[in-house]
Amino acid sequence: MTARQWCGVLAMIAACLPGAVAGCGTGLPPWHPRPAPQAPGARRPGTYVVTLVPGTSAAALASIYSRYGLRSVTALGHDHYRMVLRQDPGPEQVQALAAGDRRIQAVQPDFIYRATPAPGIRHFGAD
Amino acid sequence: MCSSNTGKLLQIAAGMLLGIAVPAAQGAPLQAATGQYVPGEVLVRFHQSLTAAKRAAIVSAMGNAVRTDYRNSWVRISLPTGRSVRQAVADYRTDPDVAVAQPNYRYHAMAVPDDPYFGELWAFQNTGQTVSYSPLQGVYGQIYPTHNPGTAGDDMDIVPAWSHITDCSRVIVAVVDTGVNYNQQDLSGNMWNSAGVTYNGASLVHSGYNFIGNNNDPMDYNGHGTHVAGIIGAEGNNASGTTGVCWKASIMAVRVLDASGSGTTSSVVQGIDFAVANGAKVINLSLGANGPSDPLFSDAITNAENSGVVVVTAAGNNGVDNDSGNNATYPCDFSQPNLICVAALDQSYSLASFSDWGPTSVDVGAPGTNILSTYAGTNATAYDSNATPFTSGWTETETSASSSGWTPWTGSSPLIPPVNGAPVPALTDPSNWPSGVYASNTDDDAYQTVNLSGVNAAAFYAYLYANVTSDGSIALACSPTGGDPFAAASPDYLIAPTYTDTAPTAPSGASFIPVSADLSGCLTTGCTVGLRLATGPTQDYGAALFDLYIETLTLNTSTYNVLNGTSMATPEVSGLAAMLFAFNPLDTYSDVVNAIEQGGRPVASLAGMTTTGNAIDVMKSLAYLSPPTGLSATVH
Repeated sequence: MTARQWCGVLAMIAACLPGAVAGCGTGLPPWHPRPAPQAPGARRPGTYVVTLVPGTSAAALASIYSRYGLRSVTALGHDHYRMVLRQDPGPEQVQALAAGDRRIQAVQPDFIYRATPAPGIRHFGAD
Repeated sequence: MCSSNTGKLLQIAAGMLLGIAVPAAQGAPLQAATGQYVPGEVLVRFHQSLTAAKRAAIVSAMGNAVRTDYRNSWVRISLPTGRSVRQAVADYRTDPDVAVAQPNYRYHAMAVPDDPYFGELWAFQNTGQTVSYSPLQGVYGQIYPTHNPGTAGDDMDIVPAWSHITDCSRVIVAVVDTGVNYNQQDLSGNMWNSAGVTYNGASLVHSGYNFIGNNNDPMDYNGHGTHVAGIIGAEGNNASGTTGVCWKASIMAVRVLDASGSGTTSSVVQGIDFAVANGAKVINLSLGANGPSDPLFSDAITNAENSGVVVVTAAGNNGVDNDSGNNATYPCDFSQPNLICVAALDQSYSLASFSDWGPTSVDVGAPGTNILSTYAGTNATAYDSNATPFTSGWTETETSASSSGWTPWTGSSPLIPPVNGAPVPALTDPSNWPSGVYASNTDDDAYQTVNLSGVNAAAFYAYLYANVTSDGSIALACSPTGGDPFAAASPDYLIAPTYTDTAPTAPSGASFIPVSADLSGCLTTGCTVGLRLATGPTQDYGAALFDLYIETLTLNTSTYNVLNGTSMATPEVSGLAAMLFAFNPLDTYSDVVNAIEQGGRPVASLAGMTTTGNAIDVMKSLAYLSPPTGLSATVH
């Protein structure tokens, strides 16, 4: 079986997986949409984007989150910082700590985005 | 006072109005007309029974003058200064002695570019051709079979527009994507001139910035961004390759997605901020994600709005209604007025099977199937688990004797159903996945060696079911020097250790995730790619990996590819936005958004599926005049 034949086969797999819009055996072409990613809100584990109150030093992050092992802090501009933790307590805990500290304006997961070519016959790589 | 471009726009608009208004009995509008006509003149054919003297008398009575009396009772008539051609034509049509009245249209050589692949570009000129370009590149390079060929005339109506404008280079268009191969033969002359611009202390010598590598080289190691850039602005009429919406353009390359086509909020937001700060008027975002709203991303689009920037984004390729349930896709579902979200149409202007839609979130449709454009290089397959199953070449280890470790699986499950009776190869832990649970307190590794030397980039794609509690984790890693990639003191993680469950959970659709990773740090002959299931005291149902595919990219300057997706429809709109800004530099972002959305062509497949029900139409958008707002009248 050639690679391109495999492509057709795998698209049928995609159409049959849970979450697919239509079921198997419908005779749909391999272009039928693959299942939607089953992890809405996919995020980079342990990585958060923090917005500090203007004038606040990034050192504040160490005092708040060092208990989880602060791997790195990168300035993104506009008082935004990408923070990577060695141990990920999860978004709820990270946000709970931020809510109790006036130096932090907002914190959110670093959500994953993908290029959006259609998956076509195999593979996702896109939404 | 009208600018020269405004004058042209009015000519186009009036010409189109007149052409549409001509009743069949008066003679249909001439197909070759460009919409432009000679001001101060009309052409009238009187009934044959009238003498030349009678014709002259009628013309004179209308306050006009006969300029030329042609054969068959046709008369070329001069109008007094300031007299509207449109009104004059209307007046003559009410005269019972007149058979036909029309403007004196101008004709141009049709502006079809000489690019050799122009015949494949159905989005620009749909003649009912079959798109059959080859060789196709990579897993995404595919011919979409439905409506190929499609319906002649179902296109963007751009060819007549090229008689008016082809040069958009005064408008910077930011391609916020996987980067752009700025050396590609059809793009190198149309990149943003970044001479003298610095960012983070670096001179921008390659027309943009790389927010994945944090350097000044936004080269594309995936192919997607280069394809997008070519749709917007591949150099036209240069006897080479394809053409973009704009023949001349100013493409800003902003790399925010890695070689696997993946990025995050932080990289994308940086890219948008960079584009706005450096003068982009249009930002193309052929990217997205299904999930909760992303406030930081939304703020970046609002910042672009405040700077008058149009942002164009893709609806998504899940074939679902973005407005329904948990289908919201961002940035498409953001609501800023400078944001245009685009669905994909096929060659008969049906909604493409993969395209998302949304009556309140998706705005317009544009061609998005079988789109031929520039590409970054050539792809090759370095590993394919369906061609070389997991029974061959994989090394697996486990630290607990009670663990089955990672095991080649060829079972049958609705989660990975057989295809045509043949099981799909997978690698699972435990071996009795999906019904069994993994062993406690073990590190189970499995890895495969792949030769990734001599290429510029590589990416890993697979499907993964994962059910791991929080006292354990699953991770992917690679090692350029070979061996177990997790043996290193600091493994080069492709996916950092993570867990999926708060309590043991049987595999289901909810635990199915696509995974992808950039292998550009592992371009050696002995690169190893592996995964680790690390477990604690709690047992869960483990993981299954299948459809693992590693693809390489070797850059060059002359490759083209056919891709499909709302990703490809999006730059058709971005190119149009650039064209509109270039055509009338005084336009605001809202003028451009209105011209694109309201100046589109109603399409049945989009009715009720988008906010406008329209496909983009370049000629109509060029002619679109926003209705005046804020006017008031006083009745005496």
